[in-house]
Amino acid sequence: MLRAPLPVNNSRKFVKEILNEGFRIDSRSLTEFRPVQIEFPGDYGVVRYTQGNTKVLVSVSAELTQPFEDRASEGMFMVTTELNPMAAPWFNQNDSFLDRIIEKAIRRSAALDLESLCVIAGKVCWRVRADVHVLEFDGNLIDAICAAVITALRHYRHPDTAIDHTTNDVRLIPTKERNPIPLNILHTPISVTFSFYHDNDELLDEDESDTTPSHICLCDATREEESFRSFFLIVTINKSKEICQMYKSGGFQLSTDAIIDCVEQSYKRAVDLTDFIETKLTEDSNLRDPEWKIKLARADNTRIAS
Amino acid sequence: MSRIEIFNSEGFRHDGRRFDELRNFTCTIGDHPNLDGSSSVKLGATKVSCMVVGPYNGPPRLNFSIDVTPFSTFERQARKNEKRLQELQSLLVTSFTSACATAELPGTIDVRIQVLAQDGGLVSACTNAATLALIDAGIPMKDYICACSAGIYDTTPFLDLSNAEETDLSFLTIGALGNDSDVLMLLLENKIPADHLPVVMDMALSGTQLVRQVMDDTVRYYTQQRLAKRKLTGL
Repeated sequence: MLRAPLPVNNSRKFVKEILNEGFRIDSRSLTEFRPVQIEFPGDYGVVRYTQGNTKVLVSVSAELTQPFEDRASEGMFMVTTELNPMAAPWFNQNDSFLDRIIEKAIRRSAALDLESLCVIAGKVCWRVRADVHVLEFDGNLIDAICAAVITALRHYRHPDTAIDHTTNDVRLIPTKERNPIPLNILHTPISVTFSFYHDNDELLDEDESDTTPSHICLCDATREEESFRSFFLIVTINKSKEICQMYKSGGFQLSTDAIIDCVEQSYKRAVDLTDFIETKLTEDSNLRDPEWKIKLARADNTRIAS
Repeated sequence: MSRIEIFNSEGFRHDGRRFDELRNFTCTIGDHPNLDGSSSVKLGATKVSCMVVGPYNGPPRLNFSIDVTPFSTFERQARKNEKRLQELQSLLVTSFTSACATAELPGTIDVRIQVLAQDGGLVSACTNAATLALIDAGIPMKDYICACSAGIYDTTPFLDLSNAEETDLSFLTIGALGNDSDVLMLLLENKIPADHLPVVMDMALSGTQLVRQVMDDTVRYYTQQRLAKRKLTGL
């Protein structure tokens, strides 16, 4: 996983010290998340997701294509993440670990119903792709990308198709003639990354004690905090309390109770964030709905300043 | 769903095991004469062999490479899931780095894992093989990293899933350090209801204890053999 270069010893020591006392440099509590903003700046499927100073732009697009031979009745879905030095100077290549986690969180957990993307089995299907651009990086990229991609998928609408059954030709119906169709999203997976730190560094060397070294668990770490964590735990969970994916790298040992604690925390977060995403989506669809615009434009209506 | 009966009314799984039984787990170490360390692990029909070269001159680091042979599955397949293997490699690197006290290592160590046959439990077989090979190479480690998978069928947790079970059930793999009941590495890739998680984790952890016992016995057996040989040759 891409790691920020270590900060200078002094600031690292300082951050560590105040973490031990239960404070963080941006005055959050240890389990507090940074405020999230979701904007829909463009067409259907374009989402700008902001979490603290981390900014991610996702654009979802779809095109008609031929399905894979072994999966004739399924559409295709792919996520590509682009990390360029604009987000952070040390981003220069794509990170396969990041791709894999996002793929597991969204694709393998079957958040997008691929069978509904099939138009004619074995001949025509939709290929949906989500292009992720990291605009600014300040830690916790996985959570941000995961939430942004699922929001964009729920926001996206593709044009309807008409099939000529004599020739098997597929024609796209212009969106002006018929309303575009949303994708079939089965659930909303939310990733939460927990960063862990040793309580004090001396424990690293004298690990002979039988007790597990005590640790500090941090939610939504910033870039600086992320750069010197001992290890991390990623939990992807949805609102119906199904864990879609979990990953813990090495570091030190974690008791099962601590892991279950993290799962509970991430579940709370998933409920909150899913609700937030849903309110943002309804707000946006109200704005985009032409009938709503007509209602707004009526003379007896109270005027809303745009 | 497949046609096999995952769990019958008598409480047996499709291969005749109870829910908390491990498959036949055997391992050998030092079976490759020219390398610093080697091991081979059989977990049911899953077969993995591991080779360790090092430490040689270089930065103190562990390198892992996993190679899945095309004939390892029932249907011969071209290499494709590269990303999955890369993820597995990085998981193993971080786990073993923390267990091997890497900072004090005299040099670079290469660990090469060959997957010869796959029948479920790939991650745990690779981890166990790497542990044994590193021990054979004499790399100081805090303890064995023993890994085991566990899944859930309805409300019954299953230990050490076979390939047929893995395709039908959701499961996770846990690696623990020695006799410790804490989790060192954790990998979950299917959907599991969060309420069932404690049961499955406990089941997997109990499996790691069984695995540790077998690995410990093996290491002791081979070491004794080696010592006996030394006495014979008078070294």
